[in-house]
Amino acid sequence: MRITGITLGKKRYIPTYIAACLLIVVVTLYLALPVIALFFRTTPELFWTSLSDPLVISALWLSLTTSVISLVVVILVGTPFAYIHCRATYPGKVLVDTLIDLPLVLPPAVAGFALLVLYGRMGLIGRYLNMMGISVAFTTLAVIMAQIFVASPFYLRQAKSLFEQFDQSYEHTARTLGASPLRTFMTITLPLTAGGLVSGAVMTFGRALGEFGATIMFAGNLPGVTQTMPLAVYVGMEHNFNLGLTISILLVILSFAIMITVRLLTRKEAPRA
Amino acid sequence: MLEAVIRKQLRDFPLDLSFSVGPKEILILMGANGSGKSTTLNIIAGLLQPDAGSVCLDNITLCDPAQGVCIPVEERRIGYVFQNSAVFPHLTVRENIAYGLRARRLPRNEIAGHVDRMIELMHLEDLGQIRAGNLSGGQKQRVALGRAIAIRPALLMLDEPFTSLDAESSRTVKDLTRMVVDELKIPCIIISHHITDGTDIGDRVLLLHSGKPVWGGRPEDIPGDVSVCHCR
Repeated sequence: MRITGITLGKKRYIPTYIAACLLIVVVTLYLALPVIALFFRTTPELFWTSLSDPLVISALWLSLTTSVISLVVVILVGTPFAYIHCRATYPGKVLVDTLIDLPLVLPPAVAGFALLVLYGRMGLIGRYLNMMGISVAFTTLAVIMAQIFVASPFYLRQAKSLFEQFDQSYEHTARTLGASPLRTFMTITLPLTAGGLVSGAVMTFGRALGEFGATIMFAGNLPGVTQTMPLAVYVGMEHNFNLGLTISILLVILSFAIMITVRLLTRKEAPRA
Repeated sequence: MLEAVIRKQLRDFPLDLSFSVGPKEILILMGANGSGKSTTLNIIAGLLQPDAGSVCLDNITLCDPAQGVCIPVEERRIGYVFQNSAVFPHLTVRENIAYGLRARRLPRNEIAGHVDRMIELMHLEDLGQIRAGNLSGGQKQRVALGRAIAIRPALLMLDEPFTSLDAESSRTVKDLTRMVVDELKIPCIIISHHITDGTDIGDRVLLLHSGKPVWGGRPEDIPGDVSVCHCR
């Protein structure tokens, strides 16, 4: 074993060596054991049987569709927003910068409560929507709005950082060659930042998929309408442990796949950077 | 013919200069780092706006704040090679050279003909399908030069094009630049830190110091003390 600058072969380094090994083992086990425990509590037969339960299927379907819609909205709105935000100077830019990051530190339950106060039946905007016969809170739309609110900073931060670090001489060259700003963005900026943007999008999808606090506050917990996978885990824990277990395992597998995808994408991007 | 009168307040000093460059003439813009050389080129290209003055190319006013004239960057017909060559790494050499022609919506067969000619002119015959990100410094510079002149510019500008090149590549790019400028009969501005670039390829040198011209003339006449004081 090697720690940068020190070869741990000599006798006097043995305590350091043991401490280092212990530290790695303890941290790894602390993170891995709860996840591993999930797999030990079920059997493949039970897992496959629970998987076909209507509650699991509807929660899985709802989670995937709402997360995909949230992601598409975040990418379509967030990409041009992040680009314009980076390139333009406007009053209140610092404030906007802070607001973008706010959902990262805001407790999700507070985010859900705030959305409810704004869009609920008696909310600031909600009361007018209600007059027009539009109800937002406790609908599938509320699930998507909660996911966008909580997960979008993951994409926006990544996009902002990519566009800020992007060498503008590529864009300037494209412009002098006759390309419009839009063409420059689509043919130069976007392809050259695509890898980083995709990894930001994958993280956003993962966060949207795991969203719980804001969703339960703003959208409620209606099976087939607003009950996403994390909410179904909560219900399962109270009423049907095996269902909760199956959905938890599904979420672990999905989360793991997301992290591996991000790692592969960022590793592929490294040489270019 | 390029005629430029440029005034712009920079952070530490005002940029204040006027000069002209005739057809087939290569002007070497020299000066220490931060003396306003790249800003001058960026203003001519339209990437920055001057506070006052005017930029006229072939009797067309590209920019004149007093008259409210400002032709957009993409309509100025200026070939601009940046310091790092800025070849698009995700595109092939052919796609790089064709980029400006596609942006100008030329017919496909016309683009192919232009690209073939540029590839031959820049000695890039074996590299057409190679991604530009995988090229050497000298090859990138030739691609950038070919891409800039493929749009048949009315003015060619190169920002420190020889800095990161070895002697042989530098010679090749200089020869190609001279050939292109003579063939297209266009004015050319090259930013350089080295007096040898001036004597090798330049017809005239303009030395900048803190945004103002301090010496102008033929490269072989440049006084040694001036070049030492102002080019490092």
